[in-house]
Amino acid sequence: MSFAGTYCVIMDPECSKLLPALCAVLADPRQPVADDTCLEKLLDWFKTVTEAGSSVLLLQENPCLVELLFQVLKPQDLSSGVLSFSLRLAGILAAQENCFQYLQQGELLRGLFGESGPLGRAAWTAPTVRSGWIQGLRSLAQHPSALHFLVGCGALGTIFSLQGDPSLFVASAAGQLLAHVLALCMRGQAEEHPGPQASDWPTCAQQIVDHVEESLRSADSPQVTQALNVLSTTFGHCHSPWTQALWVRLSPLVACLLEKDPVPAAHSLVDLLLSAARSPVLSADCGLWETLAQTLSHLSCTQAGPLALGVLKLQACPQTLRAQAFGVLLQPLACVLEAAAQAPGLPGLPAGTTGDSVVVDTLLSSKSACVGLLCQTLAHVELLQPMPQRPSPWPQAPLLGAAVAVLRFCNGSAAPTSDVGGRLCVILVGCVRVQRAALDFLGTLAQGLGPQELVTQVLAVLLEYLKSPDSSPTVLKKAFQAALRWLRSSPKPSGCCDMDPHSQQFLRELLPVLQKRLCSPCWEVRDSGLEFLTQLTRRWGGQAGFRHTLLASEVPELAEQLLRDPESYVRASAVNAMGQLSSQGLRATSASPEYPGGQQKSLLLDLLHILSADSEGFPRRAVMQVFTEWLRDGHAEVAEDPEQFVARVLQVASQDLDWEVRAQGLELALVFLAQTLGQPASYCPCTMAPPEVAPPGRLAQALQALCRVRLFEFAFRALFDCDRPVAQKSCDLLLFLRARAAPCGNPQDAGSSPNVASAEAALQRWRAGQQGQPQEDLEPEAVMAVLRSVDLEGLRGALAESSDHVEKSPRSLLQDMLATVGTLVENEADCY
Amino acid sequence: MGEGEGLAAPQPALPAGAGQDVGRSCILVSIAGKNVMLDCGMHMGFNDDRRFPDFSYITRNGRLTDFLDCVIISHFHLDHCGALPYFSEMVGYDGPIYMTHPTQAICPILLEDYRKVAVDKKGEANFFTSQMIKDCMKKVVAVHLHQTVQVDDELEIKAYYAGHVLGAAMFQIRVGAESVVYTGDYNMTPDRHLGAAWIDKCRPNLLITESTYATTIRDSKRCRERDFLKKVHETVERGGKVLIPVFALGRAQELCILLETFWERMNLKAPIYFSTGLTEKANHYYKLFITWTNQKIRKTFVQRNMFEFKHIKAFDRAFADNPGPMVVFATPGMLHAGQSLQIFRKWAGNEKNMVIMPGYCVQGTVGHKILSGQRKLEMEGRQLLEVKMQVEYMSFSAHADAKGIMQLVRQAEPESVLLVHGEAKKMEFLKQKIEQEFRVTCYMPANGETVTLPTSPCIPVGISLGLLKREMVQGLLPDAKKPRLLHGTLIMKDSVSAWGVISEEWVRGLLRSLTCSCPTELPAGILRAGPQGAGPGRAPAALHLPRAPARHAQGAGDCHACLQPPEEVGTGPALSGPGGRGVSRQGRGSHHASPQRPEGPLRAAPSGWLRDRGVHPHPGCGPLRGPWHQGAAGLLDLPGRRAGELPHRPAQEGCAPGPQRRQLTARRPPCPLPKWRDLSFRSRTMSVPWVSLVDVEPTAGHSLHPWGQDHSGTSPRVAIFS
Repeated sequence: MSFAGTYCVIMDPECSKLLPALCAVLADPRQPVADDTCLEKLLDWFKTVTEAGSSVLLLQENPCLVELLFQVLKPQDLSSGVLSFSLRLAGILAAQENCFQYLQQGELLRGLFGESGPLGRAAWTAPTVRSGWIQGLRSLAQHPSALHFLVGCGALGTIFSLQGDPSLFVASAAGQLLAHVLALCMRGQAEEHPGPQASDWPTCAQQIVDHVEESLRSADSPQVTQALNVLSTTFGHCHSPWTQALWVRLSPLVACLLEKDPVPAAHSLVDLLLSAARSPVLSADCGLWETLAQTLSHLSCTQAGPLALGVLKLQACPQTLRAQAFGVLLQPLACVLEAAAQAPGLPGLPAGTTGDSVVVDTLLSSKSACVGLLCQTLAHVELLQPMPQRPSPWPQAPLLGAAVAVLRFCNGSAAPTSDVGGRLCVILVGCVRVQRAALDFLGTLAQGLGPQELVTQVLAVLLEYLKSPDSSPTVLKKAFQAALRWLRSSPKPSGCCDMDPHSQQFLRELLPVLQKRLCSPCWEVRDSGLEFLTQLTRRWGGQAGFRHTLLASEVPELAEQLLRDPESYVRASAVNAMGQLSSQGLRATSASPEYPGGQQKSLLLDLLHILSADSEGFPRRAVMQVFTEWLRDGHAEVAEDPEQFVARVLQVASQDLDWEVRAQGLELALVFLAQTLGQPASYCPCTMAPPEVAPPGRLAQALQALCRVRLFEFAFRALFDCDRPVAQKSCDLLLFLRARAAPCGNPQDAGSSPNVASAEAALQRWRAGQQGQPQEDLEPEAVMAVLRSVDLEGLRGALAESSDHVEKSPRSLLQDMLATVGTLVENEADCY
Repeated sequence: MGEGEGLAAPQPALPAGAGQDVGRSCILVSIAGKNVMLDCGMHMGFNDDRRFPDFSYITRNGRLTDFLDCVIISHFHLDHCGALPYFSEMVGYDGPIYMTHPTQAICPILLEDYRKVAVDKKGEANFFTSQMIKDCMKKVVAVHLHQTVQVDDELEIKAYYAGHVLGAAMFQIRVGAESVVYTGDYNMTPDRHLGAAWIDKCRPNLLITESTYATTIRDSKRCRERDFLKKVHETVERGGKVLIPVFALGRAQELCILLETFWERMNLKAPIYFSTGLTEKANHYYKLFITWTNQKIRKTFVQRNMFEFKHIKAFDRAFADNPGPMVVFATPGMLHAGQSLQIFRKWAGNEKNMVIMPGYCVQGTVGHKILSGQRKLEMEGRQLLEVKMQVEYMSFSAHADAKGIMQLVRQAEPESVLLVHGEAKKMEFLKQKIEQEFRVTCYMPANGETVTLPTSPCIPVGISLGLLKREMVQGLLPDAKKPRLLHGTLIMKDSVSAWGVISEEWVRGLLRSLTCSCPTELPAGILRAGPQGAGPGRAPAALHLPRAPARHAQGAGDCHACLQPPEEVGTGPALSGPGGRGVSRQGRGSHHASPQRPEGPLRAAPSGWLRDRGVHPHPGCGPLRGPWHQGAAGLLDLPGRRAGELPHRPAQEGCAPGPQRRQLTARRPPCPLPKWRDLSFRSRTMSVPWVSLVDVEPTAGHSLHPWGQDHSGTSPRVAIFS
């Protein structure tokens, strides 16, 4: 939680009053502390306060804080949470050099972070305390005095040892602290012209670099990992010239790692090399590129994959290295292509990319190795595909071939003649994990084209997956998504807005499959099918070929039946699909001459029924979205009598228990309002200039219409809705209306009319959270008068604050912590 | 060096959340090279990034989907599943998520509620959407109780009833002979609508248990209920209103049943309301998953559905202003927003009214404030709300207390215990108690701390019915008290850990002696491996025999595995309880019903022991041949194979595409062959080193049981058959 930027960046007097009591509680080992989250939030607040002002001043005005820190020094049984909190607080305060000096006057910091502090006590066994110690030092290490302190109190040795802490969090923080301290050391005198010799460097930096060197030489893999992590952080965050000297000094040791078999800490080594390669200071170093090239060839194919991807993502990099990296990345797919031994006429992968025997061995060594390597490769190439710096020329055709081959191995439809192919078949058949990865990859490849023969194969394999009873729901979903992407990418025939013949053929074969999938016993499959149908219709609903094929199938009818699906997610997707079909005139019965228009009405009624009766929020929300879209687009059924439509919908939506439905109702009201007033509904009172004022005659008519649909009653009641977004939306809507109708009428004139009194009475009741209707129908004049009397701007300001801003305030936190004292035992920690 | 020492198969377990902490449960377990995430919860005490576990510690190992084999969700509470859509749709995990059917049904409702409060009421950006919740739920694979689900060829999971809330489950995760049980939250005592948690004597290497009430022996539930009813009754009698803030599903139903029964018995007339349509929703789910409720509710369900309440009606906002007494269950449970807060505001000023908080409230919420005794609350717009109504706290949470936790440990008989989901101090107490009473190591890692366990797994051996019958035909019935030799074949999977401790020379010698036609090379990683590991992420375990029976030394050329059935043979726990026990064969996709196994693990000889005795193939039996791939059982029954003969490898080695496989399987006649098809041979075609015959003998005092008569669900890594 952050209090930054909103309030209480300074210590307010009320909080200052509460602090001494809280510090006393924290320093008392007999008083259990509420929970660690409170202490975390308290630290957030102190951080905000110290960032905004002087820490010394804070301590002088609140001496209880220093007292608390002194209490911690006393050997007593404080909770690990409070100890950790105190260490972190001390670090935050000492981040300002003058405050550091202030605290050091009493040797407080040495007591807290030195041997005599928690470090030497039993409390040190708690990871929270070690974490607090590290984080405290991390905050503190901001100035030269802090560096002297670190060296002086022997903290470096402890940090070195904490790199191997059993807690990942502590170990990671220790590594980051070392990198931070190193950068801080070098920020001073040695920054400009540091020599590679340790003697040129500040003592603290020397110690750190010596430690890193020693670790790199170690035979212990975790120690090597720690050193590499420190270096990765350093090169990743600091791009000063001295980092080049550091690299010159340490790169031979890094290169030595490559001589070991297996290469130790390969993951961390890859991170380091990429971090160095991204550094603008080091990227001119030829040695670095050589090391990268060596590493690519030394690492196993699984380990080399991330490095190859990282190299290919680099903005500037020697072409030979890029080619090597691309070759390494594609090797597993090259093996697959060779193993599949299909379509011999197709272009192969770039020169140098062949199915390496080591890669083949890895692929065939075990199922998990094969699956892991293939999934990783597919994901890496998928990431690379849309990048501007991807290798050029991009081997689209062989990649397509490889993806198809992998998918065929996985569904058992491949008929390889090679031994490797046969083995891959056995390993991959039915492997859902690879199927998912390959389908994602195939979908991404749709961004580029390929030879028609291959595209046909792609569509065929997608169809196989969509048809197969063995396809899992997740695989089917991905197959639908990939199919959609390939359909979208299909080239339009020249001079025609319809689909190309291949896509049309695909669609003809696909729709019976979709039909079957809409009847699946798995809700996930029905839902994915409906989502696919909605997308298809949105994209091609206006095209004759698609319309003909769709209407010839039973898909629209089935989609309509799914409006009554037992699963709410499916009902919601069916609502969306039917809304889209209906908008495009693609409902099953619309083409039928015996139901001229009659059935179209029933969808409206069906959806209204769902809106008023469905027990779940998703379908009701979907209905509101469809209705809003219908109104905006002038759907035929709505256009017949928009007023009646809006009145009915608002009546139902206003009663809904789901506030998102009510908010959506206001969205629909806004569209209607804009249409009635002849304005675009995109008005946002906070960012845009007010809309044009409507002519009085037209405005009066519009207001009459708004009254007839009872829009004002809905909006006024929503203004006081207990759910903030509803009230916010209503506020925006009424501000829009008021701005539009500004010069109309005179509040004083209308103020005395009995209708205004009735409207105001209703408003008061709604404000008090009561239900009910006004005694009389609201009239435009009365509405406008009431509208002008409400402080909408003030309300909008209040609503803009998050609803829990009071709860989040520091005062509330301090009060809560104090109030909890003594009640903890009574209210045992219960769970959700 | 003790048994198995130095041959450790490390099983790291890392709590990313819920280590010495309540909230944000998320534990990573690595078992025999498989990585499983247990729960994916959020911390309700934070509104920023800290509410979710820090997944960057996992993503450092590459893509999440590649690193994790699966995610398991124990139940629908948000501290166990609240981060799931974030994890799957925003961080990018694309693999399977396992949970029970009720959890699958209810989880999205709670996530949706949480989203609405977090995003829309507090205006938070960068949060998961409804569509993300749906997409996340599409990745869920629902499991039945006691159904063994194969996540992949090696990793299997099995759910046990946990009580606590509808659909809560404990999960056993097993890879070969190594297993971990994760309890999630559980309750060892039945309540009014749920049963007690139950697990069989599965003897996991590690039991990861919650420890919320690590030091508490809970008072009588009856007293607590009586107290609750008394307070409600008194308030209503004097004309006051009672507000009970609850979460949508869970404890609310327990309290509803309690009040409903009381109202009926006392013939009370004051209305009881339940807010916003949740009554129907709850009823729907309880009806749908009636098998997950306790025995009483299931029994009476036909006559009367306990969740269709006579006295409890749906609440309308307008009712809050009605005069006279009433009881209202309203959401959310911490009074931090919505209807419960709105009603609280209306009723707080009247001392006749009462609010009963039945659950935990995080700092900052109105619920927390009133529970800690604050009586003047600042509300929005600087309004001051004076709380005059009575405030009561009653814990109705359904966690096991200290006794219950001990009972579960006793029941499961783990080799070690790891405590999570509790406070450090209390855990320390329970840890000592567990270590003293059960003589097992107990761990209590903090968040981010890794615990690595040495394991010394035994390799259970099964005996086929055919072999037993043949032995019986050949001689007299086996005397249960007399050691007896059986002839069989030992098949070892490529990942059988024994190879890690057998010398390379020995293995090569063994392989040379085989005349196997299938490739016999061992995976390079295994040959290279020392005790610390055999390839990335996989470590060898010992083929371990605690009491090597040197007395059974046979003549030269014989190999031995001492079969030592465990003491529970024939006395396994009865399979009964909520949801139906037994191995369910229902599943989906790649799930297989639980492979059945012999009546307990039989232990093979330790590698050193074997080596010392110069193990080599039995001269009397031919080599094993055949493409041992998934579903290869059908190949056993290829026409032309003589009885007892092992299958021959088809001409096209290693290539057995799906259709062919199905055809072969279809031809398999019903026969008394061992049901080992799902066990040792799945997709291990290329790297299985076939070891020939091993003589086996039953240990004195135990009888052998044919394959398939046990339901305890262990998947043997070594099979012995005729």
